[in-house]
Amino acid sequence: MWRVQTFSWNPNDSKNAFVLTLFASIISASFFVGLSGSSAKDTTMNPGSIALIYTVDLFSGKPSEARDLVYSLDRQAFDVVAAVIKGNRVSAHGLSVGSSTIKGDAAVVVLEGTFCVAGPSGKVSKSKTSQVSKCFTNSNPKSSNKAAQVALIRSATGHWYVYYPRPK
Amino acid sequence: MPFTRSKSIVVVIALVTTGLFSSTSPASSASTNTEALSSTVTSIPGVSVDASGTFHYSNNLTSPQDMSNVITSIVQGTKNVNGVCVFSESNSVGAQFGTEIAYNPSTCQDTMISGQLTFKGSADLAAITPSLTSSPTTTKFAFRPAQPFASQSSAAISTASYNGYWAAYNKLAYIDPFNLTIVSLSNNFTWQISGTSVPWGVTNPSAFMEHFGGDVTTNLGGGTSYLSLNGGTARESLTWNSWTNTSFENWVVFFMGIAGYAACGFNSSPANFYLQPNVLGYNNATFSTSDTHTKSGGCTDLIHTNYNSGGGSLN
Repeated sequence: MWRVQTFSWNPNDSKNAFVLTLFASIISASFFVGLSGSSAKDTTMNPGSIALIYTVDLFSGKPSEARDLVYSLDRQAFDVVAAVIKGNRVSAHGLSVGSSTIKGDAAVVVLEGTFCVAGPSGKVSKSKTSQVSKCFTNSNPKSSNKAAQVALIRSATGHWYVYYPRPK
Repeated sequence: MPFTRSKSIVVVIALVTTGLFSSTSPASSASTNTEALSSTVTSIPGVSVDASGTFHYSNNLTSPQDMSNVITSIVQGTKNVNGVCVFSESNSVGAQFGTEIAYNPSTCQDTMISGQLTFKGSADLAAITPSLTSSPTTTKFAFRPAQPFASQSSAAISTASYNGYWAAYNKLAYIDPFNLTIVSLSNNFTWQISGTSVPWGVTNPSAFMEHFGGDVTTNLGGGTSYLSLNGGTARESLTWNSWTNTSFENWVVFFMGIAGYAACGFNSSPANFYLQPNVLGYNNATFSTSDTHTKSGGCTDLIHTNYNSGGGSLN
């Protein structure tokens, strides 16, 4: 199982400091694909790996790379939300795939780990203020909490993409 | 964090069924990853973003059929200590309806369109405005609707003819991408004219917050203060209210999963709204309006504001 130890992104930090440290431990040989953000872009991987890379990119200031993993017709919605995310200071740590449920060409991946959103940081005169980061942790591999889930869909050629299911 | 059913979700479903929710066959796309997918596309209606990070709101009453004498203006906000953009709009003397069509959170700039609602525009606005049961006209004084400040010249003043009670309103609202009012506050101001002075005035504020499937919007309270201006010949009412809301971000999280959490915070960063519509009543039975409004947290970049003012009162 892949485990992402720590990464964070602060768009207002002049040092452009985001730290991405990946600690990978292999439980399943099928996960051995060389995870390094979405640079691999091997969307034939299993949905759990795609979901994890997408989330790592999303929470580490690489929305354009996360976008590559989104189903093309959902990218407009992603662009809007990514613009909102840009104003937040998001971070996550201890991420791993809790479970992956595949039904036909659709999959839902539950991620475990801690997700944090701090909101915008303010600049008043020359001083800088920061809001306290607020987080939630999911340790339930079967969680029904949508905030810990990534939905994916598989193309006819076997590629998995993140998508946003239409409300039913 | 349990998911709470919200009005937004229900309306989204309604939009889906009526085709307002964007839906495109995967086969119509030339993109490489759309092949043979059974899904239909979804988008966030009424909102788009450009390369500069400016959000554009398209679910507005901005067509010529809805508004006349349209003026486009840029409102420069200021960031407070929490990084939240605070917008204070100066007195409006002629325009009676305004709506936000673009917002850049980085530069703190709003683009507003203002003008007069047409008959159709008034009907369209009423159609998307929640109906309130309480009446703001509970004042025991019979008032006459005041006129916009610019419509009456000072030469027309005949002080005795204005003696009595006059009323005007200024209503502010925050609207979600589905044209649902999340919160609104109407300043229904009645003032007394006695000769050349305005010795008294009172506001009956009418506040609205979304209620559906549980109290997902929380009223944090508000108040009203009054200022005597111009040597007692004018009186201003400033009324304000604050709310916090989770329903809209609940929907975004429901829709987009982990991306929705990153964008909205999902209860860890709830949406906060502050509305302060002001009305200034003069001794010649005219009025002008101004306002201050802020939004922060929980995906509020996707939410726009509008205002509506006129003589009389409005819930």
